[in-house]
Amino acid sequence: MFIEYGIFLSIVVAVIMILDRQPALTVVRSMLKIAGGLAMLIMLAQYTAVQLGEVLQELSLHGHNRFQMVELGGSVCIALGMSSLIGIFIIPLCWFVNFLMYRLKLTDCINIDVYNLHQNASIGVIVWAFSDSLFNGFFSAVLLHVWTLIMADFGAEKNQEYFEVRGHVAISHPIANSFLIFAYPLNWLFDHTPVINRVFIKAEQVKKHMGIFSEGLLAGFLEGLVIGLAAYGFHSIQVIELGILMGCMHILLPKAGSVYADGLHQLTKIVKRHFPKDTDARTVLVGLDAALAVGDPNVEATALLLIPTMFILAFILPGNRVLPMLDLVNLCFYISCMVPVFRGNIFRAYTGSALLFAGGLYISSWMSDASTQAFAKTSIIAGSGIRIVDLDPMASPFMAVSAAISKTGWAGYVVCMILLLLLAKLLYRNRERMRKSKKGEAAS
Amino acid sequence: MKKRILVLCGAGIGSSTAMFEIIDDFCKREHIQVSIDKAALLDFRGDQECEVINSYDIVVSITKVPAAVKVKVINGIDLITGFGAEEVLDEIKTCLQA
Repeated sequence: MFIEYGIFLSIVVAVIMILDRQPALTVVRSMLKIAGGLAMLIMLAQYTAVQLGEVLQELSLHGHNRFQMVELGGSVCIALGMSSLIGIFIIPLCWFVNFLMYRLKLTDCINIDVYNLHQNASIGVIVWAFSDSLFNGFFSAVLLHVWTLIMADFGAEKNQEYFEVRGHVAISHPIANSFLIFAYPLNWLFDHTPVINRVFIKAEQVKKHMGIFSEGLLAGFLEGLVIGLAAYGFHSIQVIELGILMGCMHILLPKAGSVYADGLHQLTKIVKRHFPKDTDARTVLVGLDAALAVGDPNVEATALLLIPTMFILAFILPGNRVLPMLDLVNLCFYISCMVPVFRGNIFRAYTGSALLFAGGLYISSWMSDASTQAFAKTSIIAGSGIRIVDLDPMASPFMAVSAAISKTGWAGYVVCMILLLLLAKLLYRNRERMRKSKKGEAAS
Repeated sequence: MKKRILVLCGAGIGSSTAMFEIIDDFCKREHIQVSIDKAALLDFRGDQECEVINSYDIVVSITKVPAAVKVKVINGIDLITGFGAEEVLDEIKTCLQA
């Protein structure tokens, strides 16, 4: 059966909730939402993979034989991550890592966003398939969480300022934070390139012309039409069918994902209830989902521009084998942490993100065998001969990094972990010093 | 007539449920008659959808809303972090009684 891991996961969540003495009905409701949400996602993934697999075959008959992978998008990545051996343990494991790092004064951030841990798990599962070692998978997932917390601290001040939120908010979205660090050198480059450092695009203009891409149904439909025309030509009703199918998937997949997310809601409440009590003595950052960023006009405009760009990139980049299909509407989450670094400049955020995502397409192409195996390993989609990728999390630079580390075996992980923890301590001390000098200034 | 609140989050993943529960608890405690709906901003970005948002009395959102939204918008992020939640709830109460 395809849902057995989902059942195990819901049992783990139930144990946590029972330890927290929650009423039986609440526990059962959460269990059903988690297992049910995962089941819905897997059913949709299986159906979509078969349908889109046929389209790709048709594409290759018409000369576009470079694209051999079905891209299933960020919602399916929930199923890949959480409906696996790593997913079952990822929530308590990341809580433990977060608790240790907070107590050891390596981070100020307490992550209350349980939902996005599926990204850690899915990277873990792909690395597991890539290196054939479960240990590597777990270590990659944990390493990503450590990195996320460090970057959440690092980006907090800029994010608070830019998104106009109060001093306790940080973004601890794993994929968004894995892109964050690249925004700094890119912004420096833009600052120091003549002409380019004065280019500016207005958000309203972009929204006026690209607004249709912000609606899932329409964006999916248009995308399906383009792929369908390339695959079937002008004389087939299948073109429109594909458009409707892709539009539907842009609505159904997030809906199924939100059922699963609702099941985790009680866990978020548990983290909040057991929040550290020494918040007066220390600055605490509450790690939230990147959702607080998606309403920002500059984030929105950048993401809208990226949707057709990703499509064009997929066709023109030599050696790329991945055609983005269902992950385009999620782009706004991945870029959200970079936009404040670019000071909301859409041109910079767009150009920078396009460069990074071009790299992401290559990473996905490179890891496609591993991800297909990962889907088989978790028996989500097995034995169909269809190759499957997911831009979320596979376009993330961290995917490439963790795959590279897995080649070195456990020693590489230990070295990376030590380096990361040293970095965390260094940054923590720096922040501490800044705060003290600020306090000193305020006192004098 | 009952006032209507719309709780908006980015993608409909989790945070609107959290805000919904907090506001709902608060209104029950304060005996305020109110009807609350939740939605994701990702589904509400077109101009037509903004008309739907405008039919509510108050919007509590964790993210910025499109310029076409003309009703009172309260930033609900403090409800989620728990820091300064009381102030947000007080603000909601004042708006409901106005």
